Amino acid sequence: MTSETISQAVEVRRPNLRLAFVIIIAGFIISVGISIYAIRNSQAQVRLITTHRLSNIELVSRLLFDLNQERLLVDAHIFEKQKENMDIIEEDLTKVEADISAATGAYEPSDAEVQAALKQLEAELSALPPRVASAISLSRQNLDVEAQKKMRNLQPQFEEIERSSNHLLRLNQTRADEEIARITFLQLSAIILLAILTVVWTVFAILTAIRVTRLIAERETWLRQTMRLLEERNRELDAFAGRVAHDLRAPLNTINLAAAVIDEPKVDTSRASHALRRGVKAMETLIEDLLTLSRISGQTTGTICHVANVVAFVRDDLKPKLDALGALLQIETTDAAVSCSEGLLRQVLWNLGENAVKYRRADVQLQLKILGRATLRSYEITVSDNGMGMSAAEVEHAFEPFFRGKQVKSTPGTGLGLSIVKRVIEASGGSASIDSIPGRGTTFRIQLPLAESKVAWRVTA
Amino acid sequence: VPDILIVDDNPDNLDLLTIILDAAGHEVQTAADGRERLEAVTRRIPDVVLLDVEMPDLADRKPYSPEALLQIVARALQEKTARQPRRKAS
Repeated sequence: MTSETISQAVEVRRPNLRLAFVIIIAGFIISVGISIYAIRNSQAQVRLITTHRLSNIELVSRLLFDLNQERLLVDAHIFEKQKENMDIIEEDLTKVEADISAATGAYEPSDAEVQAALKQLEAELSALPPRVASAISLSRQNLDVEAQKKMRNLQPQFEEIERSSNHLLRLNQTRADEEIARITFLQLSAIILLAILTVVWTVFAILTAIRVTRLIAERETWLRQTMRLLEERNRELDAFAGRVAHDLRAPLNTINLAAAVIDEPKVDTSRASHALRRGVKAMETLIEDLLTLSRISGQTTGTICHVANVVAFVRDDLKPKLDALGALLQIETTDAAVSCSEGLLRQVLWNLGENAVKYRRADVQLQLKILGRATLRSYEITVSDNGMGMSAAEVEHAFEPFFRGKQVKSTPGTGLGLSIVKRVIEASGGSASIDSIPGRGTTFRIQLPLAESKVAWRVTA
Repeated sequence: VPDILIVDDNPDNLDLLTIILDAAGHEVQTAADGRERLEAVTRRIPDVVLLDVEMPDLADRKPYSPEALLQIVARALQEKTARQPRRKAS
């Protein structure tokens, strides 16, 4: 696993949890709002009933009571013979009549129908006092029979007033019932709405909780994987550092020995100076390769190059070497834009070409073929030779840093060439593989992603 | 002056060590790598063996441990000593 895939794994999906939480909180606020609205409205209705309906009913009851009182007082007046007692009864009658008009005046009609009923009652009531007064004046003259007759004649009017009062009472009762029904309806609908909202929001909250839990589990798994990868990478890095140190020390030993030979007074130092230069060169090459390897990730991200340009360079790079060996070079590539740094792709093809030269068969003319073509999704480059080839075991390890094949120990090399190839290709989002037959030759197959413009062109074509 | 056998897979090192030890008047034998060449050392039994301890076994890519290398050298020398008296006798 390379550092690129680790950084890719970091981009795990981040769903909009904030929105979910806002929705849940909004849900609870709406529920609370509905509750408050329902309670406030019920209170207002209740207040209306207690202030208007009940007091109105009370007023009508008072009116009826006063009317009865009036009739009783008139009867008492008729029976009474004493003048002073009559005065007291008349005083009481005046009070009762005042109370009747006070009661009707205090009445507050709530709508047109009640208003009409009240108007009728008032009209009937206003017709009453003059007639009662005439009965009283007859009674004062002790014309009791006439007075009684007068009062009996008034009976239908009293009944009419009672009917009107009862009608008003019923109207009040109906209005009160209607208002109570409204409160019940309001409370019921609020309860139903709250129940629905609670169910919906609870389900939503549960789903969100499940999602959050799953997400946490996902992250944990990912974290563990990343940890494992990092540990693996650390171990690889330690091993790599060990190999680097070892491979740098080897030429250093040679240089040391060469220095010792040069210090010897009576020996031929020409071989020593050659060995010294070779040792220095080996260290230089190794350091160069290590630098290339370390710079790969930085150079490849987001860069694009054209295969034709790279191939032209590689041809120029390899030509002198191949000509000197009398080797055949065949290059057949179609041009395409691929996502890879130009310098690094050049290095890749150069490394593969140099490998072919290094590991050629001594008795056979070297043939090197570089073929390139765009497939649907990627660009494929194959570099094939007719060299020594590799065994299956060697192919398996060929891309590892510092691996060197069995037969090639004597050939100079750092063991980093192919690992550079692999790192460059993988860092560019591609893949590299090897087909090889020992004693027949090797084919390196490289897949590189096409740059986006090329893909778009292919889709429209 | 003791006879010396040098075992090292680096040809430059072999050359340079041979030059130094030659100059000091030693009889030097060299073996470059692996079992076969080492076992082919038959000229004479060395008094001293200079051994590169991190010689790779090229078949499985693992460096020989010093003990394993010493065993190989010892076996090679044993076989040689076993052969030499017979040659002398015949």
